[in-house]
Amino acid sequence: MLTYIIRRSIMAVPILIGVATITFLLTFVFVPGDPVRMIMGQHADEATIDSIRDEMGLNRPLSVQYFDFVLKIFKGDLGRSYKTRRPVIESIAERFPATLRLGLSAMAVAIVVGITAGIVSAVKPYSVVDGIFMSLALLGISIPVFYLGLLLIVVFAVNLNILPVGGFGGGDIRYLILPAIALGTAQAARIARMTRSSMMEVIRMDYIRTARSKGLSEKTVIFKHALRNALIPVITVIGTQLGYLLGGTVLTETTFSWPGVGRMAVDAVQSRDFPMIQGTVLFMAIIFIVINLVVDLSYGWFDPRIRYE
Amino acid sequence: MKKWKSLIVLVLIFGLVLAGCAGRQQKSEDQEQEGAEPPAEVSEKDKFGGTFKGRLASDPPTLDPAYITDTTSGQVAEHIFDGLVQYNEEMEIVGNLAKDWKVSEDGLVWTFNLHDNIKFHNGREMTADDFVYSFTRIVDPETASPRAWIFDQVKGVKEFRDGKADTVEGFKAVDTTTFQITLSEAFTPFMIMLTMNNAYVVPKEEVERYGEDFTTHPVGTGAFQFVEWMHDDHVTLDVNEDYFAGRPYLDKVNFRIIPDDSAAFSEYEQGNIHDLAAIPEGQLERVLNTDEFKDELIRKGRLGLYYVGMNTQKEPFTDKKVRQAINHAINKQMIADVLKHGTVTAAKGILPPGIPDYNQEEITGLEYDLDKAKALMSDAGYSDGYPNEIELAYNTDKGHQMIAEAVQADLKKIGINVKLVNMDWGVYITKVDNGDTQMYRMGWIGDPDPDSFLYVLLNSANFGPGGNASFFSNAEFDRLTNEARTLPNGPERMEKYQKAEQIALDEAPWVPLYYYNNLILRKPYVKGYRVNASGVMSYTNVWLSEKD
Repeated sequence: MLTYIIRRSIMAVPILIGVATITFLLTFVFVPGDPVRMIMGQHADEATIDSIRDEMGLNRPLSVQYFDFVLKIFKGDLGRSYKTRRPVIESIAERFPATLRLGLSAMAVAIVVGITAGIVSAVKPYSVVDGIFMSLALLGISIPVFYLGLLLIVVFAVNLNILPVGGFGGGDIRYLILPAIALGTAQAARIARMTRSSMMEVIRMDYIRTARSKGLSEKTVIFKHALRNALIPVITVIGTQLGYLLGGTVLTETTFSWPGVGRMAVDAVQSRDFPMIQGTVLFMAIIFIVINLVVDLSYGWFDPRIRYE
Repeated sequence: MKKWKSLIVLVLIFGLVLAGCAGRQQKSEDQEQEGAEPPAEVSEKDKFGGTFKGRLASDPPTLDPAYITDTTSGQVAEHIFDGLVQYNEEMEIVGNLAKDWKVSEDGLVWTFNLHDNIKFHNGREMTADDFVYSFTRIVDPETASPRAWIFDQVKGVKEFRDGKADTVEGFKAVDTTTFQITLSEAFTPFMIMLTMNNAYVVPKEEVERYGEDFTTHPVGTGAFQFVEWMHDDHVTLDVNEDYFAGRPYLDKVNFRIIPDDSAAFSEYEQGNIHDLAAIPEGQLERVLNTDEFKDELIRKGRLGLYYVGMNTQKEPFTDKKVRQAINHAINKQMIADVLKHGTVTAAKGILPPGIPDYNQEEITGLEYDLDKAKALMSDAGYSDGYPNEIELAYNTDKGHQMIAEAVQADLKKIGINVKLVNMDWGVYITKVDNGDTQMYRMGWIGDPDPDSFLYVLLNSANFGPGGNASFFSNAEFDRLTNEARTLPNGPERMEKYQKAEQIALDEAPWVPLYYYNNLILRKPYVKGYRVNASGVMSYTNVWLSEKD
């Protein structure tokens, strides 16, 4: 397994260099707008603009800036934000706990609701309950997260006034509920659909019939024999979604003013803070790579027949 | 077993929702109590204590004075740091760390006498040398301060920046409490530069200790000292017990960072924040036209102008008559009354009211007059309307869009077809500066000196990024605004600005639409809360008649 992990880690290097290169080109070549002009405010003089360019190294040829950027990445240095002048890595580290909190909470909502609904639907396929759950799942997948977020805000924060509109509230759990539900709904829907189809496939298999014919209770058949085998594709879905959630969920964090990595990335784009944009994109890529690796490794735990070479 | 676990989690979530509801109900009851009338007589001793809960609309980009260019950073920094001078409620410049000052007859030497026993938050006594260090740091190319230009007129700055001198000749500590600045040329608005956030005094040892991280470890001499900053969530300040002007009443100031105005309004209603400087559009009717917030609303003029600029170097704006026609065609009063709900004042000229000693009555603007506008278009040779489409650019924002649409509709009446182009601020500001727009919208918050509007935004020395994005050039206007900035304050100086403003209005490179107003809500139990034309003032006199 160790060899497998090492091999996957080495494979991640060219992926990261690719991501870094694309992000660099996107920010410096394709994104319009001058970052120095953004820093200066509405009244700026050419001499000061030039001295700031010099200090930030923006007067150097683009190729020199690129190699400097890539070399620094290997040293674990993502540069300093143009806007705040603070190390990018420090800013990401400060925002990541909030993103983690939201991402994990949303995933908890998604897993609890999604797997429960999926199992119930699979056990009673084509029933009224199944119809309701799957219709809700379709709705959950179709509704854009920012729209659901706004709906939740209007209902629970504005009309009923029982939950805050947005913000972090210093960690107060009431501030977490609406964004976690908004973010978790689409994931719950995906998980529910995947759990249902996977369970229905497994339930039809011979070993389940054998288990039932042995006289095992339906509960044992479903939870011990069917669910564990049906979970492999569900875990893949959870894994990829978790990567997305932990990389910073731009829309949800922006809708709810949640102080995470995603919102910081949006602010960075708006203020043309190139090092911050590059840093957050790289961070998201790393999260995806790590989560994918963890998901691949977890298959072995759920299905001992799987071996890593 | 798993089913049970799922059930427990669901019950917990439900329980948390209920707990949230209970929490809100509790707050509502508290609010009712807070709304009660404070006792008529409050002893000086009872004023002390409590935490003021403010709101920031975004995470401050920096708390290092050298790099502040935005109002949010300034909103926090002004409590941590002090400068030589500051504005009072009437926007007059009064002493802060300087108890008094004198200016030499030729306007070149400015001598400031500092208060005694001023201490930094680290306990060290502040002296005139600290001002020499702080100001030199701003102009030092190594600092790369975006506001290095505020000391452009100081003697020796150019030599220092070019590496020809180790120190700035114009900054001098005469003794521990006397600081002297020598200018290379007379420059009356220089005092305004000294009120800016960038001109605060900082301790050298702390700046050197933290380097670039001084921004997150700010140390000043201000009424409050920095305690904690959780990015995108809150900034907390503690009272400075040794503040030179006496201990403020408050124990703490806690700024919550709430980007969304509606969310902030909801927090304000529940008493979770004590003031709110941005009332969301959807609540304006309730705030302005009901008695609900009668005792909480503060209205005060602001030194700011919203205008539509025309690039005078692009067709058809090379023709003065077209520019004047456009000025006459746009109904500013409708924009102020209807689109802005009466929260702003329709502009008569360029300079907003409230600039000390400036007589705005003498100024004649181009009033809304459709017939005159049509006649001018006809004189310009466009009696059948302008044949080509004109682009009006604005940065993406619902409010700007509504104004742009009103302008579009008004100009259609005189035969000008306007195409609206919106873009995000990063692209927008670069295009406007580069002269790549035909018409553009802009807002400007200035200082209480005509120079900060007329010279900065319309003098031909400031084309493009300098502020003059309409590339307006008029020799007489330039002469007047150049001369006025070297004259001492007084009628002669103001007369030159009045003439210059009239020229700018007649030449019409802009359509001044409206002047901004401060519209601020603050809880009735917040006392000593003062607002001037720049916004909310320092909290040194603020106290809470009801404390948490």
